[in-house]
Amino acid sequence: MDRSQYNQCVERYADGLFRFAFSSLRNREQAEDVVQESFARVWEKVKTVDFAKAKSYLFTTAHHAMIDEVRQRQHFTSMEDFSSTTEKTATSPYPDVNDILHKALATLPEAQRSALLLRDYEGYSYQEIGDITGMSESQVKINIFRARTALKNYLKRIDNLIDIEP
Amino acid sequence: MNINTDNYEAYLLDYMDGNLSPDETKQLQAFVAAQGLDWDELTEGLPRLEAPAVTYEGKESLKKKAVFVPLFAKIAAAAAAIALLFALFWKPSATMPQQELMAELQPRKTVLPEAEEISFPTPKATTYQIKNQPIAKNKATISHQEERTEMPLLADLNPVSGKEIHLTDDYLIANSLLPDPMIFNFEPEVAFIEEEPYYDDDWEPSLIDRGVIRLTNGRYGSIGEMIGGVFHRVSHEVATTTARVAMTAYYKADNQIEEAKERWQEKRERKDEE
Repeated sequence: MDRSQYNQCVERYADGLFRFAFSSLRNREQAEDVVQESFARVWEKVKTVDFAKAKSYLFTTAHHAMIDEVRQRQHFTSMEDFSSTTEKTATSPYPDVNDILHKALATLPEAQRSALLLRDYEGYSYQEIGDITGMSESQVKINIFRARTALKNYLKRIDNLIDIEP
Repeated sequence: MNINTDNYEAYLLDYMDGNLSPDETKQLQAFVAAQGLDWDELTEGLPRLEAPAVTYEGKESLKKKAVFVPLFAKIAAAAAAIALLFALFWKPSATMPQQELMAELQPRKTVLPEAEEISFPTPKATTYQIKNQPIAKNKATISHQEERTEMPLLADLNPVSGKEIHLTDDYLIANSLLPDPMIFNFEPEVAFIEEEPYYDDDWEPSLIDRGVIRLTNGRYGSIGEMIGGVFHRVSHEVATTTARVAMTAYYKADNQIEEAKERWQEKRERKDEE
């Protein structure tokens, strides 16, 4: 890959990468850090990364960076609740219509969330998601199924809350 | 299909994706029923996320712009490439032994004046430490030097062969000029990437035509980093050798090879006359 192709990657994938990172971390600044780090890694290996595989390389790098980010966050914020801490500082780029589902994403385990985001946002195959996350294809499917089930149950609970409101 | 409690959810997802045959669907439904689970509850109303339209604002800062490279640096880089190709593909003729050509190609005092010799400062004795970096991996043993015999013009790499490399923070060398990892068991991926250097009028062009520049921060880099913007921290030995390779390649470019041949031919003729 050359410099021109690298710049094409920025143009094509930076939005999706940021969306992926933001949806997981729910914090704009940290999501931007993940995007910058991912592209820095690609630039570092620009001569050896194949242009056709650059997107997969970017998302794999971002996935690992997010895991590190979440671990650091757990370390430094002790037992503070993940969703509640980010909720105060995050500036959501999402329209209100999807806000409930995207809030529900924060309640999912990391493996379920990443697999679901890569599937629904980026349209990756189960095999490709496995390559990015290091899971087997079967594990990917199970995580996605459980993620959808959890979101469904979350929406049910929201419905119930609305029903009992006066 | 071997459905069990560990994998039935994967099959449920396959079913919802429409990837199960009617027979497989029946097997799955039978399994779900046998587990006392509700088929409709499992398979209906599962949401899919819609990707929100998001724009990352910092694209321009991520993009890489072409770095201005002085003409003499371009010439040096091109000459190095030509020399490398020559080294790889040139076969000495029967009338001019390779050893004699190599002798003719030794850099001459006239092109390497003492005053312009590159001197590297003494490298730090300690290995570069970065928190959370797998520093133990920053050691690699160079080996397989016998494979280098087909690249005679790069024979100057020999001084680093067989020695353990300790990465330090003293030298920055372009990725493209590092010893070939296919030949040397070197691990460039464990080296560290610096940010792109800032170029200004403080360059020392006298060093650039040697294949090595001194950066404005006082450290050394090679012509390759000016083009690729990627460079690594390496040991003093690798830095020195890389510089030597660049210099050797430059001073043994095509015209000098021709000159060497002519000199050799003249010597041979003089000898015949005697």
